[in-house]
Amino acid sequence: MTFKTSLFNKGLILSDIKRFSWVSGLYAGLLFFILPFKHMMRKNALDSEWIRHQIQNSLSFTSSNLTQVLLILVIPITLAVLIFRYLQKTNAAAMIHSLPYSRKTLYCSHSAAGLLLLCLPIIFIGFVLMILQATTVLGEYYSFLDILSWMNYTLLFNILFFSTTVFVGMFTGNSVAHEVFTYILHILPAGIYVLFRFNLSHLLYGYSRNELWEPALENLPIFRLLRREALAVREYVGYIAIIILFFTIAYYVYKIRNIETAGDIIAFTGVRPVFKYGVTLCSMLLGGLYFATISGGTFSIIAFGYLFSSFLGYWIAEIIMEKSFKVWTAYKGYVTYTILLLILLIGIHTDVTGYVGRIPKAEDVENVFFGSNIYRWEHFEEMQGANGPYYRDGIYYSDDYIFIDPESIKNIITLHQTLIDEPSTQGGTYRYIAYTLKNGKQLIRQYVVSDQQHTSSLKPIYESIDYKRIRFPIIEQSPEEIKWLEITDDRSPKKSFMLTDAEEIEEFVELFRMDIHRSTYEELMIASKHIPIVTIMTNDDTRMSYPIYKSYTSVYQWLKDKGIYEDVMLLPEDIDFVRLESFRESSSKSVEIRDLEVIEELIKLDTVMDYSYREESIFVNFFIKDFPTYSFYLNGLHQDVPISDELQSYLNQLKN
Amino acid sequence: MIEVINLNKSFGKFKALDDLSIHVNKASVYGLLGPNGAGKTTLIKHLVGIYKQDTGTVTVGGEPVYENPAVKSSIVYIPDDLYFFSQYSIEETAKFYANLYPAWNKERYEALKQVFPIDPKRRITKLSKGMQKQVSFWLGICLMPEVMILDEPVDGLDPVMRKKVWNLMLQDVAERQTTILVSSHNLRELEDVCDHVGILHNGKIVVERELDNMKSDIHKLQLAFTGKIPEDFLEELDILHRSQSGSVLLLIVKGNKEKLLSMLQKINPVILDVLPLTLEEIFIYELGGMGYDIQNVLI
Repeated sequence: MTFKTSLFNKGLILSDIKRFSWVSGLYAGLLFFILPFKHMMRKNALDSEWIRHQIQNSLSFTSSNLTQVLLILVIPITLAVLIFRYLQKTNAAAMIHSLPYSRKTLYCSHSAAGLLLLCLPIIFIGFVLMILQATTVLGEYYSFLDILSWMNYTLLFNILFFSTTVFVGMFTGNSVAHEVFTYILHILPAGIYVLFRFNLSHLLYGYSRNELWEPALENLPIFRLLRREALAVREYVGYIAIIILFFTIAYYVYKIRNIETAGDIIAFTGVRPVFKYGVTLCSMLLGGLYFATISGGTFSIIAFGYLFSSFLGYWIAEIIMEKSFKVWTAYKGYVTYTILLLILLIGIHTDVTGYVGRIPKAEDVENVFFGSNIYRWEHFEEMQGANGPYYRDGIYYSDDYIFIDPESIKNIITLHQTLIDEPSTQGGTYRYIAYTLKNGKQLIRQYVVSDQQHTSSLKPIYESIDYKRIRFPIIEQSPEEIKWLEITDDRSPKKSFMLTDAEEIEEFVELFRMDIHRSTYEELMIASKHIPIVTIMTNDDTRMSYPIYKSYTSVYQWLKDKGIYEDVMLLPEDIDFVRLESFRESSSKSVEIRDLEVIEELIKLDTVMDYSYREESIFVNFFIKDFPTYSFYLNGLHQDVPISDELQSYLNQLKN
Repeated sequence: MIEVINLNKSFGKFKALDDLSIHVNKASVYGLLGPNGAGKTTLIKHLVGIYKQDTGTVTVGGEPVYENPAVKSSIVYIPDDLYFFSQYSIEETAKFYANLYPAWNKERYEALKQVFPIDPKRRITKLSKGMQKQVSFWLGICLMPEVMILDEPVDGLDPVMRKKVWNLMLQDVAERQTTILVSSHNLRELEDVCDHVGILHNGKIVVERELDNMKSDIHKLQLAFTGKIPEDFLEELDILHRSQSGSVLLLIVKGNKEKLLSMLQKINPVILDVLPLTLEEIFIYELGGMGYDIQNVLI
């Protein structure tokens, strides 16, 4: 008796195609309405720039619409679940495996049928697009190459998701689990990573919590697809390798799979512990995170959260696998898990590894980043450094700086020690301290830094020349490099003043530097919204603005001496009146001030505004003489600001 | 034709088949009997190459079945729990099988339309369970199998159809030397068709017998005497069972029928009747001494 064995069987492939062509048809139909049909409908409105743009973008991976992405996330997975459903249904499994075909033939035929069903709609739509491209005006908006590239990435991701689904299907005997596990597999690495780090951030003081993302995770197909950035050849090759890998592993798993596992959640005994402890771990991390969040990080509550949620996860996994509530015999596994967990928690809590207290020695440190946006530190190179021109703006100051000066490094180490010894009790902002050590290693910590509580440690850092030099490049610039200076006061409708005379520029710069050196931490930390500014244009056409703080007395004096001050700056006499307004729930009250002295006081007050939110804050609205439409607001005047009795009496009027 | 030697299979901790061996001759009809959960379906799924045995060998025609398309193409399996593609009509399913089995016989398929009065254009999954069973026999017979494996085959078939189907299959046994293995939990169902019977209990074959031998070997005799029953002749007989009500003696006896009759006639009973024995009774008496509560096994 001879019987030819081949990889593919026509009968099997045809029957799959016949049974599941509706998926293919649906996909083709939806793609048709998303792409060619939509293009045809929009063809007549091509004079609109926006529509032209839309048509061009619809074929590009980087900007294709979300519907296409959604289809890629749904169609191949659904199709693979349907095609391999014969493995999950007891009677279908018996029928198909009693057919005179080896598993190799079954696997190859079903996979091939699935791939055909998946690829045909894309090829068909590609063909339709090509016809439209060649015959209609649409040809001007996309090329054959665009269509090929669209087909290329659409096929790639479809096949990628199909292959992962086939792979997952071999490990489960239930179609619902098949679908669910496939999606879980795609996000699991990222999910566990994020959960793990989130949990550590609650357990370990100083562990950086915002830096939760690992760039490698971006390459997970699902995130790569959602990110929609152009694919590099290297990535293509990588994903194709993954496809081949998944198909190959799936085949070998299928070969050893027992058909009687149809209907089971987990098809292999060896995978059951992976599933069980995987669910236990994930639910523990998730639950732990919840308890950590609601308790504000109390260790005993977090520990309880871990125990409780791992308990839940363990038994739920057990119940799902056994399809029974009578699973108490499996208690041993949970006891072991709990013991290990407790050992780990105690280890972390007592800081066995010395993580919490670790501070490098000043002489080992190459440089240190101190700031709130770690991204700038991570992308130091691309941004030409956090200190590069991209972030160099003396006005809207960014607190992200890399300190190189040994003195500054020492100051930051002192701050670090203070933060470990006295964690913030008053709240504050999350700041990173990231050391780059001389041996190339890095040490990253994140703490809540309170401007009030930690002032004494922060002051030397921000008042150092190191910091000021980075924030105010003018300190190191030669006056000869400067083309012109422009002094502006945007509170006032007055014109700005241009300084072009080299001698005057030099005089100004010298005084300005002196004032900068004298400036204090408190002043430097003020977000300077309504402060006169000086814009400096250098010969190489880079422009930079700096605030002229209230304390810059020598600069102001020089401006007054030169007679520039009155022409540029807002003077109390320029103000017609000031209106104070208070907003409380629905009612608002206001009072107008025309008293020159009080107005002057208010002008000076503006620079010490505290932006922290207060319920009783009062809006101060300045109205300028002769410019009825010109006014500016200050918000945030509140009772903490020391004020004169006169102003107080105005404020009292608002209260009643 | 079918040879199973020391087959073992466990599902997790549950041992479904325990060192099981059976032997089925070519062109015979083998009845596999056993209560629910005895392991009949598990055994059958090994015979058609669906399950992989833990240990032991399963061969059909001398070849292992598992992952052996050549052998599997000669086997037709009609499961208890039928599965058909949901959108397929009878005709489409026939085409599907025709593509897959090289021995598909189209003439037979056409001819059997007479026997199975179902419109071939109807979707199978829309048919009743009994009609689906008919379809599976119809298609199965057309695959010209050398071996037919039937799991609880007559479930849902009406008596007329049951007879028709068996006629068709037995015809194949006679003409084409087809081998049939049929499972059931009900002995009476198999009585008329099987020549061999194996009884499966708790994953083990308890007994394997050739029915013709058994039937010709065991007899149920009813004797009546005037006056006292003579005792001496009883000693010469191989008695499996004896009961007495008044002057009527009921005996289950092993031995050649002719010999027995001639011997008994010598002692001049008033009545000497040879009563028909059901297969069930045979097993009960035969196995009574083996320590199995066979009535529970056979139901």
